[in-house]
Amino acid sequence: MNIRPLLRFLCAFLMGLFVSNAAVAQIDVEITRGNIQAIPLAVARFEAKTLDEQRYVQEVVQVIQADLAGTGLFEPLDPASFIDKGASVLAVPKFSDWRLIKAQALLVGKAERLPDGRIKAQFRLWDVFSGKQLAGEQFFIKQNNWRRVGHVIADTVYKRMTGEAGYFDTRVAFIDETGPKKRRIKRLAIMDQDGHNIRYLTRGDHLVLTPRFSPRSQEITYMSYESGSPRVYLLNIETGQKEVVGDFPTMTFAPRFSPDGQRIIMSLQQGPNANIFMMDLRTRQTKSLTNSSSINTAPSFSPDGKNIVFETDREGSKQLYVMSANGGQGRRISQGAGRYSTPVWSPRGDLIAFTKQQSGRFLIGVMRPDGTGERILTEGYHNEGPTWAPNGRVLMFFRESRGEKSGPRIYSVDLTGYNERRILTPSWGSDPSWSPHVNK
Amino acid sequence: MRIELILSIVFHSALLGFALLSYQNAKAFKQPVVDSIPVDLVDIKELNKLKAGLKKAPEKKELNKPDVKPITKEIEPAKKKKKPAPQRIVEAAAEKPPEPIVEKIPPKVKEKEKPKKVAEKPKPKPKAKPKPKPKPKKVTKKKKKKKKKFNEDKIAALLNKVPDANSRSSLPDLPGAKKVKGAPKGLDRVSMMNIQGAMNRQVSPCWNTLAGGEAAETLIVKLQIKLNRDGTLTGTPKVLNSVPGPFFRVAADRALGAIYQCQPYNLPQKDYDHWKFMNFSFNPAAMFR
Repeated sequence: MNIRPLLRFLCAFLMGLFVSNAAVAQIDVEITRGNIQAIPLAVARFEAKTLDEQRYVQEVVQVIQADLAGTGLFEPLDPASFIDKGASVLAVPKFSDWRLIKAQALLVGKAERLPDGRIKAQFRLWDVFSGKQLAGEQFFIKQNNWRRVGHVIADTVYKRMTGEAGYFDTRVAFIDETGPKKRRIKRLAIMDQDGHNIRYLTRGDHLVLTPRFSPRSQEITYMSYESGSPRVYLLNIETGQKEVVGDFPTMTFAPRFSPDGQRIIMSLQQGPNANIFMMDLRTRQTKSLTNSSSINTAPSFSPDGKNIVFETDREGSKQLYVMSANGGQGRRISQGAGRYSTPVWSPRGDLIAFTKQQSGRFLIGVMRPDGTGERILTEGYHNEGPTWAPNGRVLMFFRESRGEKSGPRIYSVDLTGYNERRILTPSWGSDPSWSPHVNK
Repeated sequence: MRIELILSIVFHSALLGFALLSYQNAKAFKQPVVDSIPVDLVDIKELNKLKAGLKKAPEKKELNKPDVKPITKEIEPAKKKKKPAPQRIVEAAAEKPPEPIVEKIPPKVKEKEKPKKVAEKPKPKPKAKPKPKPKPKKVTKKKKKKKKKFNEDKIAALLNKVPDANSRSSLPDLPGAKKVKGAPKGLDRVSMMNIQGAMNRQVSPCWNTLAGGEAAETLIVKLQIKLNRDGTLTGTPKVLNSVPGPFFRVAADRALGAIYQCQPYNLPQKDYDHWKFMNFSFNPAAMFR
């Protein structure tokens, strides 16, 4: 047997291995410094057939642009700068045209009204530099809510480009305030997170305060003087049905749902003191969680339902405490100077937002559940009532300004503290409460 | 059969007898004598002082100097036969007064052919620059003393291109010649660092880091890219690692975006074979500190 060819093959193979290994020898580069900048995003004009549809899709594009620009993480480019005016959802874009205007991402879409009255929306999100499609979806929606098409698309873009869930297709319950300061009319209202589509849920005959969304979204709990004395109510948004929560002899206030929506925690006045109670909405049984001769109020569940953060003045000034969901003494978490109130646990579970009063200023801040890492996000004459967006990245709160003719306004601020924006409401607004995702 | 047996016995016994007689006078194996190495036990304080340098003991230092300098000077011409010597060394040699060793070399060199070229180089250099310098007077005196201790073996070894083993540690590191562990074959440290630095400068401005996501600071993205000679990307960069969850996908997209966005890259053409393939690691940890 002639083994020479075999040997030659082996030699060639080994040589080949060596040579290829030498050729692939590479330089390693570590990049440790980058930028944190808004992403330049081009939202191309959506395709539409009829003039009517064109008007609606233009509004959809504006909603998308406003939603994403409001986060501070995106920079929608001016459509006037677009070279390619006819980008289609059915064709691969000419990326060189979009690179020229420095777009990093491109959104193209199409919407049409179907014979059954629904709207069919399609969109694709492209990475301009790699030419890769990042997302592509189509969905159907009722005709009476064109704006929601924009919110749903903005949520998808936001999630795909940041990794976080979006918060645009959400609503906010709040107290709409009108009239002079001493005779203010307060109505329970609900709106889209961008201030549109306002619906009033009460007529303003009675004072209403502290509305809180149920995690199931179609219910709101709030405090009202409807029956003469302050009581906690439960309102179904869809049906308009409402009921008093619990049968307590004294004032109940500061209600909030448990994460599963099956329980409500609130404060019950007991003489000069107030303690925290929990009521099971199915069995209607109540349970006392605190029992101290002090004011214990503003309870808020952790997202896993195991702990409750609340404010108490048991040490003199108002401070934040965390206790087990079964009740107990709890442990103090707020350590800084000043008075802490209205704590709200983030849906992510990593932070607790609060109002802090110090040296005549009202501050909105966040801290970790163990009290460390306190950060102030915003301050003002009278800031209060933080509420979390469902993704745990943005807070809404209200700010009162000085003066007889002034009133509260609703603002949002992200966790960096730099991106603060006012939410436009038709009149004064206070006590915002952010809903979970509408389609959840 | 018997004859064969007898012959075999006779032959073997004769061989045995011859061996016994001849090996009786054989010399025993001698083990080579190895010189013992003197080892001084040095206190850690003394070691630190040695490293820091002893200002108060200049004389001892000066005594050591001549041992080092002539060697470096002699080795350089021998080593750099093909390429011109690096400037730093040439200048250092030129600044000093003509050294006795160089002067002494020619008489011996004349007998051999190779060293001629070596001896020729150092000669013109002292001419090119002004010789006299007031300070080295003391040094020359000591060097004259050194003349007397001239080590012929050492010079012979140098002329034979065999550097003195003891002098190796005293040779200065030439930045252009030192190889780095892990560097591609044939690429020196400086060139590699130049390429790394150039890529860092060109890619960093395009890297829009993911901020605010859960554990965003821990999301390291590793990529492998292939470049054309003009610095543009060829093919799609490969993402080499993966972390479960939506944030890594976004972080990987951001890293890829930086690579795409900043091309073409301006890199030295002569080293193309080395930067044709590159591995990137996008590590945002430092930005969150």
